[in-house]
Amino acid sequence: MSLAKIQEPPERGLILLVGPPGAGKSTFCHQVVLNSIAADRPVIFVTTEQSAPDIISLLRERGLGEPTPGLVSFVDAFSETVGVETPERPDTICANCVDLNSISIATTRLQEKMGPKGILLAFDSLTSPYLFSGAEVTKFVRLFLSKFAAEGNSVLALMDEGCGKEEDLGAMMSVADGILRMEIQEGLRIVNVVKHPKVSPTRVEVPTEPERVELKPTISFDPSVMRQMVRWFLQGSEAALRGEVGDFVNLFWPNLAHWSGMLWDPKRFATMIYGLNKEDAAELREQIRYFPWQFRLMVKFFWPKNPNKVKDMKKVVSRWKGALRERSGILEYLEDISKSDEHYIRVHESSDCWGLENIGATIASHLPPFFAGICKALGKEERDWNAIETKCIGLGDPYCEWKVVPGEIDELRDCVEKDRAVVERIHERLLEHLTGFLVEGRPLVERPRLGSDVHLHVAFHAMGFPHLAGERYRMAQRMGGAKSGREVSKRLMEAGIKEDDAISRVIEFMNYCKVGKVTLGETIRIKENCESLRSKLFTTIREPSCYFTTGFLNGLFSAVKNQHVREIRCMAAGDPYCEWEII
Amino acid sequence: MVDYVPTGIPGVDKILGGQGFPRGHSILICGGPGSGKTTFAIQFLFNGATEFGESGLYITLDEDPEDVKKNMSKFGWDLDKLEEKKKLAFINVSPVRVTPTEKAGLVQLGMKEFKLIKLLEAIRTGIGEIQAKRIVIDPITIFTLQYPDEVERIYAMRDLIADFRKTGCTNLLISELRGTGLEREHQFEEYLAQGVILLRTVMKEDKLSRMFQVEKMRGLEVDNQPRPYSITNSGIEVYPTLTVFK
Repeated sequence: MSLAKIQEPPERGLILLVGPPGAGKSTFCHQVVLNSIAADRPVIFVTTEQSAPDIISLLRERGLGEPTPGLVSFVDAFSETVGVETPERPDTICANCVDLNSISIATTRLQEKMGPKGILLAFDSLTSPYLFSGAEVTKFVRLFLSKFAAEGNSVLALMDEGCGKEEDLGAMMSVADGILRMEIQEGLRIVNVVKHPKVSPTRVEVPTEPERVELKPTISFDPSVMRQMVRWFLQGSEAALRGEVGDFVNLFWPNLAHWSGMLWDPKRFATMIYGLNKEDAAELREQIRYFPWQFRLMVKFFWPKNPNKVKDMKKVVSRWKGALRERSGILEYLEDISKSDEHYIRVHESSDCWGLENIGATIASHLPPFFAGICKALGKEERDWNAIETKCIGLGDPYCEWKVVPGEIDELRDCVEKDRAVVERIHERLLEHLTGFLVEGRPLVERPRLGSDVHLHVAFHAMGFPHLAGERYRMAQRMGGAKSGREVSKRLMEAGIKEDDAISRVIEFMNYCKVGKVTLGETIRIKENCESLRSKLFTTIREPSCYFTTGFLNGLFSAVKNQHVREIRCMAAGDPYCEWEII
Repeated sequence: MVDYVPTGIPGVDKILGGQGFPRGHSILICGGPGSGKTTFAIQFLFNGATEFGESGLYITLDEDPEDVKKNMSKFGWDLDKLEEKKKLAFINVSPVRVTPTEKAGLVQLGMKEFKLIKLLEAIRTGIGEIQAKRIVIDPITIFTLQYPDEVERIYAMRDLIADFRKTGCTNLLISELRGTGLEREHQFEEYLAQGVILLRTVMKEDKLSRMFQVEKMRGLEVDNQPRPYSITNSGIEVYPTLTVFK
C-alpha cells in the first residue's frame, strides 16, 4: 500500500482526516489537491486557517504551476474572519468562519460555476468553524459536506483531534465514508487508514520531502540491468531493454515530456535536470564496477586522467561513441579554440534541439551537463565542472556548441533557467509539429544523418528523473502532461476531427513514437512504457510512476470525452505492463 | 387553471414548487431593515419586464423613487430605460415626503387625503398607463398606519387585497418584520395575504446570516424550510438546496 494511493481522491465520498496539530494533515491535503488538479479534476479549496493567496503560494511551492483557469477555486473563510485585507481574486469567494451558511453559500456558488459533479472539495479545516459553532458543525458535516459528496463529489475534510468534545468528533466520523488518522510516532509521520471506500485498513508512513536533489537514496544500478545496457553499448543490440518495442524512441516524445514539465516550472525544473544529468555522469566511477572487466580495464588504462588538458579531452570526445550510438548527436571536439581548463565541444543534430530551430534560446539539457559530469568523474583531483551552451540550433546556429570549464560559470544559471515565454514558444512549436503530424500526416522530426530515433537512455535523460527530486517535479510532469494532452485534443477538435478518431490518432502517434506498445480497449494498456521503465530499471521506486504519460492521457480524455484516466497498473510498481482505467 | 408568475430570482422559483407566484395573488414580503425587501421587489419587477414580458408598477409610500432607483443601480438594473419604454412605472404616494416642485409620479397625494380609495385610484391609473401585470407596494406598513383602529385597518387591508384580485395583477406587499428572532408573533397582514415570505437576518458574533422562508403560499406546494440567501452584486440569490446553520 503506497501513500500515493490514499492521496488519490476517490470519485465520491466524504473522507475525514483527523489528527493532532502538526501531524501533517494540511500537507497531506495539499498533495491530494495537487493530485486532483493533475488529473484535471476541479477543486474547491475551503481554507479557514490561511488566506487563499497563502494557500496558492504553498501549492506553488509543491508544483502547482499555472493550472487551467477555473480548475481550482477557493473559499477564503480566513481573511474576513480575522480581518485581513486580501486582494480580490476571480477564483476566490470570501466567507466567514463564524457563519457556516456563508461557507455553504460560497461553495455552492463555486459549484454552480464548475458543474455539479466530479469536484474535489478540500476543507482545511473544520477546527476553526468548530470553535465558533460547536456541535452545529456536526450538522454542517452531515447536511452539507456529506450531501455534497453524495451528489457525486469527493470531500476531504480536516479536523484536529482533541480540540472539541469526543462525541462531536464521533458524530462527524459516523457520517464519513472514510476516516484517515494521522499521528507522529518517534519523529515519523504515519497515516492510519481506519476506513476507506477504496483501500482496506492499513498504516502508511509518510516520507519527508528531500530538501535537495539526492541521487543516491533512490537511484539503483541493478547489475543485470547494467549488463543489458552495456550489451547494447558495446554490441549495439537494438532490443536489450525492450524485447518487443526495441530500445529506441522517437525523440519527439521525450522532448515533449521535457518541455511539458518545463512549462510548469521553467526555472527549477531546468536546474534540476541539469544537476541530475551532471551528477549521473559524475557517478561514472561508481557505475563502472557494473561493467564487464574488459571495459573496466580499458577505462583504467586508456582513459585520460586529466580532463583539463586539450589532448586528453580530445581523446575523451573522440572515443565517446556513446553519443553517436544513442543518437543524441554527432560530437566534435574543437581543438583550435579549446585550451587547458576550457574545452569547446560541438554537436551536430543534437536530439534535444532538433526541430526547435531559431526558437530564441539555448535548449540542450542533456549533453552539456553530462560532459561536465564526465570531467568531474575523470579528473584525479576533486574538482567541480560545469558546461554552458554557447551556440545552439535554438539560437539559429546550424549546430550546437558548449564550453566545459572547471568551477562555477556566472552566466550558467541564466542560461539553464528558462523564461516562461521561451518555454511556451517551444511547447507551442512542439504542438504545431504534433498537430501537423496528427492532422495532415506531416513528418514529425527527421535528422539527415541520425534519423528520428534516440536510445531510451537519451529519453530517460530528457524526461529527467522527477521522482528523484521530490513531489514538485512529479507534479511538473503530470501537470505538463495534462496540458499537452488537452492542447493537442483542442487542436484536433478545431481541425474537425471526431472524438474517437482523435483518440485513436493520438494512440497511433504514441505507438509511432515507440513510447511503448499502446493498446486501447476498455482500458489503455502500455507495454514497455519508456517512462515507467526508467523508474523500474534505475530507481528503487516501486509505485506507479508514469507521471507524464498519465497526465497526457488524462488531458486527452478529459478534453475529448470529458473522461478521466487513472493508472491502475504500472511496470514500476511490479506489474507486467502499465494500465489506465477510463472513468 | 392556475397560472403562475415566475420571479426569475435565482433559487426562489425552485422553492415555489418550480413555478412562481400564483397569478393575481397578494404576497406579503416581511423583513427587517437591510434584509433586501426592496431589492427583492425591484428584482421581481425587473425580471418581469425584461424576461417575462410583464410590465410592473412600483408604488412607494415611503421613499423617493429616485432614491430607490439610485440604490438599485448597483445591481446593474437600468430602471430608467424600462420606465422610458413603459415597462415600468414608479408612483410616489408618499404621505410625508411630498414637495410641491417634485414631479416624481403620476399621482401625488397629501397626508390627509391618503386613504384606501386614493391608493386604489393611483394603482388603476398606473395599470392603465402601462398595462401592468406586477405591482409592488413598498411599504404597506405606512398604509396600515393610516388606520389607527384595528378593525378598520383589517377591513382596509382586506379591501385592498380584494381590489388587487380584480385587477388580475400579482402584487408584493412589503412589510417591516416585527421581531427578527426565530420566535415571533404573527402580524395580521400575514393572515390576509395569500402568500407570506420572510426575509430574516440573524446576528451571530458580529456576522450577519440571512435566511429566506416561504411561510405560506396558498394554492401551491412549496418548500417551507428556511434557506440561506445572499445579496450579491447581481441581486438576491437564494440557495434552495442548502440548510440554514445556526
